[in-house]
Amino acid sequence: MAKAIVNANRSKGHINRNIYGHFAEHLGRCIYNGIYVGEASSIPNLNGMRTDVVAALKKMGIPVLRWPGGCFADTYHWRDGIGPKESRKKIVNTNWGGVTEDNSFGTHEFLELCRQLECEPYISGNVGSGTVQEFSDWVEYCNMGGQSPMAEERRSNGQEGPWNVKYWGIGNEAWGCGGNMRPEFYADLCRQYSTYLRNYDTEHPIYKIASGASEGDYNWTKVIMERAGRFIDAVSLHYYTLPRTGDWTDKGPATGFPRSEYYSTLRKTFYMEELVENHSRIIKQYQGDRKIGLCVDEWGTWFDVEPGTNPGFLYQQNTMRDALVSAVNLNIFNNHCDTVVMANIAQTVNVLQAVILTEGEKLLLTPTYHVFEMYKGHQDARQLESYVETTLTGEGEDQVPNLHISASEGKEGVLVTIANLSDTDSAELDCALTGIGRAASVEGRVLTGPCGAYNDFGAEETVRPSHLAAEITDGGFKAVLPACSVAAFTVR
Amino acid sequence: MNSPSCKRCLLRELDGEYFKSIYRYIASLPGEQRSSSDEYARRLKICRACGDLHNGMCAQCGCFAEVRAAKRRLACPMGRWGQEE
Ligand code: SF4
Repeated sequence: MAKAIVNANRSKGHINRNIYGHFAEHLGRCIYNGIYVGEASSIPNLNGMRTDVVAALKKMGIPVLRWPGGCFADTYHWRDGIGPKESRKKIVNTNWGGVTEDNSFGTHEFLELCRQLECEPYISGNVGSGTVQEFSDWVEYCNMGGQSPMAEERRSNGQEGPWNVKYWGIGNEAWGCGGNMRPEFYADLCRQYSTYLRNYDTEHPIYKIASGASEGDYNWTKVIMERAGRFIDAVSLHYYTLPRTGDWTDKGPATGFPRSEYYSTLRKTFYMEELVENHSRIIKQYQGDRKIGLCVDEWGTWFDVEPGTNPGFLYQQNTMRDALVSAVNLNIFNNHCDTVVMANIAQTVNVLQAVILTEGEKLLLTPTYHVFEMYKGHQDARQLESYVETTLTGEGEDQVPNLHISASEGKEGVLVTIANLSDTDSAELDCALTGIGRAASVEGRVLTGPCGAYNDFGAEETVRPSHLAAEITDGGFKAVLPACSVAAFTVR
Repeated sequence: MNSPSCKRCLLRELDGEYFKSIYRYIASLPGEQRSSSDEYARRLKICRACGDLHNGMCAQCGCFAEVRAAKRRLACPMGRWGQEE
């Protein structure tokens, strides 16, 4: 019997809904054919956006969407993507797959997508190969309500009022594809860009996110905080989970993987906790009396592409292993909600750890989708301290705790989410709720299956949530968590 | 990918290295999973005339058209050709 405690008397604060954010880059079939098919497509769409994809993302509760990259952002010139579509520039997407980018999805289309999704837009500006003027004009184009050349141009392109885009990224991976900069150089650039990214409405101040560290590059965060901390609202962090070590040409397959790679993937995903804690500590050390957030604006699994697909398209399947990875990471973010203000899994549709896969007009929801949907009650809820007794499970050096938990109190009651990482053993759970009073009802849902189980075209419902029996006790509730599962309990 | 941008080309007409690795993959598919040579040719003829073919790749599923056409049980994602029984 594993004992768990959820303590409603202790909280780190509210869980920012943006922790459940997503990322859509001009890469492979994420935007084109995944989200956007154009008005003339035979695939049902509203203003070019696939209606099935929009409906599924809304049901999942997407709060914020980062665009246009990634590496693509630092080669993207936003003016190429506005105005009449037939006269927009055609360019080659050099970062990803070398395919032609016709710019039919640009600023207006992205903001139309966010309108349909009812989510916040988060735009990454081009610092790597753009100019301060270009970036500053983009903010003015989007946010200026009064008279100005940019506002007039926006109106002439069909958008009367400002969009009031709040979240702006000052470049992306400035240490790598965003310019191969040293942190000192980027910190200075970040100060310069930040100066010209203006607020056009005091009711809608913009929120500036600095390009942050790759994985454990703590010096990067330190230098940015020290030198540019006064000019930003948050700093980002990127960390991807790969089953194998070091070699990016041999990451391991997304399906049909050996058991050892199930556990190596989980062990490596736990590194996120150390990263979040260490980067948060540095941020707190240098933030002074301003609160600076941590945005984990790229995370997720990265496997070898599906055989026979374009390697530049980063198309991978998604199994129960991915479900466990997302559950562990979301629990980590919930439990560090005092600094983690946003996270964006990579990437929404058809790329890396996607929540949706498409093939022509067909669509399927991945196990990762179901975890986000089961966890959505955490959005904007009050985080509650939680603890669960664990043992180690795994193979060889790849040992991980068998259980992982987070909890919150929101409009629907108390939500307790627990992952059982063991691929062989179920776990009896006895969860005590402190500071809440006796529960009137408890409702359990679970996502479970063999660690390699996945949804495929023609077998879309292999992995999907089902009811999980839970029993109210004097102090909380009891349930049995199946092996390799993610469970969510709503207690009222 | 340094190959020229070609809308209606198949992979074998593009970059040599890709051609080789993808054709090695097709050759490694077990016989019972492979489509017949007539069906393979029929499918590729349709793909070649299709506006969704870019640089040898189907923009609707991300597969190289030759790979998708070679797998008996797969169908065109847009219904332009079907499964082989
Ligand atoms: S598989 Fe279908 S959609 Fe894709 S290129 Fe061939 S005919 Fe076109």
